[in-house]
Amino acid sequence: MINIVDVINEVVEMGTEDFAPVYKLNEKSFEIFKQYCKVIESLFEENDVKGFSAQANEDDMTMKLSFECSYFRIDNDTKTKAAAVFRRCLSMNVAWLEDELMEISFTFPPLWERA
Amino acid sequence: MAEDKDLFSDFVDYLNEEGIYDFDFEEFLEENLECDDDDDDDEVEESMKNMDIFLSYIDKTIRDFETNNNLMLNPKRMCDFSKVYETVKLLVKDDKKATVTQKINEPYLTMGCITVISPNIIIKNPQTFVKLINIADTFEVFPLTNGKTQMNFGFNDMVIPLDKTKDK
Repeated sequence: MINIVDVINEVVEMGTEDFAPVYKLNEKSFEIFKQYCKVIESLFEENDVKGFSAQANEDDMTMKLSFECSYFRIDNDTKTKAAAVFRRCLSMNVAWLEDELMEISFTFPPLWERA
Repeated sequence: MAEDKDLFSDFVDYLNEEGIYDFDFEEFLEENLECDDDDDDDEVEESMKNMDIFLSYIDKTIRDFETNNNLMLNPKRMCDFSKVYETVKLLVKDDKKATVTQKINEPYLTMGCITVISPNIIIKNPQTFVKLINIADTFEVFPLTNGKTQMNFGFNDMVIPLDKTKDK
């Protein structure tokens, strides 16, 4: 099982060092973002995730979360959770990787602001 | 709870009608309709056999419902379906490789499905996308074997019995 929040903590820490001193981390946004990560984690627990990566984009300060899986399904039980997360993101991307494997990516608003 | 009991006794009736007397209920419920990686071939085969029987029962139940009721298209769901179809087309209009198709009343009369197929599906308007997911009953994404991914919006209740039209 993946622990998204641990990975996110590491990526954000590195991003904060790289973007300093021009940009600083918005702690409030980061706390909210971590809550959403927990929801995503539970959403993907039900769908067999083969890999996960997080990336801080230095051009626009956005965060991109990518999941590799072979199937992703939302039904009436998970709809509310999924809607809360999807509503928060800027864009979603579903890309084919290989037979029985695809990558679902979510791009979230910037966590860093001008210092 | 009463509904569960009815479903269970219906299923038992179905097994008796079909002459299936070796259905292992305990294993079927324990397996939770899934096979584990460490299951041996016999266990997997048994699970698959149980699942096939259960799916045949579901199939028969739906076919009976379709045969024994006077059905009409559900105006509300048809409207929802068209709305989602048109919006999905707008959402992926910039993707020249994307195809959007719709299927109604397949494989069962009550079902409808809107499908998007593309190598790379990009959703730039998640707010609208969330509304579409909320309107549909199910949403699923999976990779195909031809280098493309498929996204399905599933709809139930596309047809309803005539005597229930006042409620819907």
